[in-house]
Amino acid sequence: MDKALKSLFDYQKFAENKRLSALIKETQERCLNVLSDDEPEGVSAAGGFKSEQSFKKTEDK
Amino acid sequence: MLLSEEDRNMVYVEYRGKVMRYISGRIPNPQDAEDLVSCVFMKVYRKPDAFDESRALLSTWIYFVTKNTVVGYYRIRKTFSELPEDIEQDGSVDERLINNETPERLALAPERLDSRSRDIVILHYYEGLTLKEIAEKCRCRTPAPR
Repeated sequence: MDKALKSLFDYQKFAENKRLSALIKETQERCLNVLSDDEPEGVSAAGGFKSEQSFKKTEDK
Repeated sequence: MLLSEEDRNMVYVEYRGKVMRYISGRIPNPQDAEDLVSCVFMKVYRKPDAFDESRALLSTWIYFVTKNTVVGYYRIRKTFSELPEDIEQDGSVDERLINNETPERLALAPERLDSRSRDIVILHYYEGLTLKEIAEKCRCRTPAPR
């Protein structure tokens, strides 16, 4: 089973099936703090990722 | 037998992006990655007889050519220890599975899982994280080994 899943997901990295890509993207956003294109609030003007503390300081001003 | 120029263009346009992304994710050197992409298409253009339409889709065949090209790259460099862990060197499992599973069926399988189980499967088998790393990311306890 382990080998089967590795094979299938390796194939996905090539085939890029849209339905599975959507599921993967959901997981990445949920678990890996990967920002979607719809959530720019955590990105600074320079393009870096704002830490929660700096974000709160900005809100406090 | 060589593909016609029209067929070659069609295959190149359709698959170059996928081949490049797959190889770039496994070959750290960009120049080597570009060379391997060219190598893949040379093989595809030169050996269409090797492709049996009754056994596999064109996309799956090009995938196997791409994957085997990457494995060959590491073998030639005699640095098998550097081969990314998610590339299985045993092609028998791959070929049987990929030929039997259409992309749509592949996508359906994780959909049947609950959200948490799906996250764990994707993080482990797609992202390559260990169970401990997954637990840290998802802030849950590492399951006991069975």
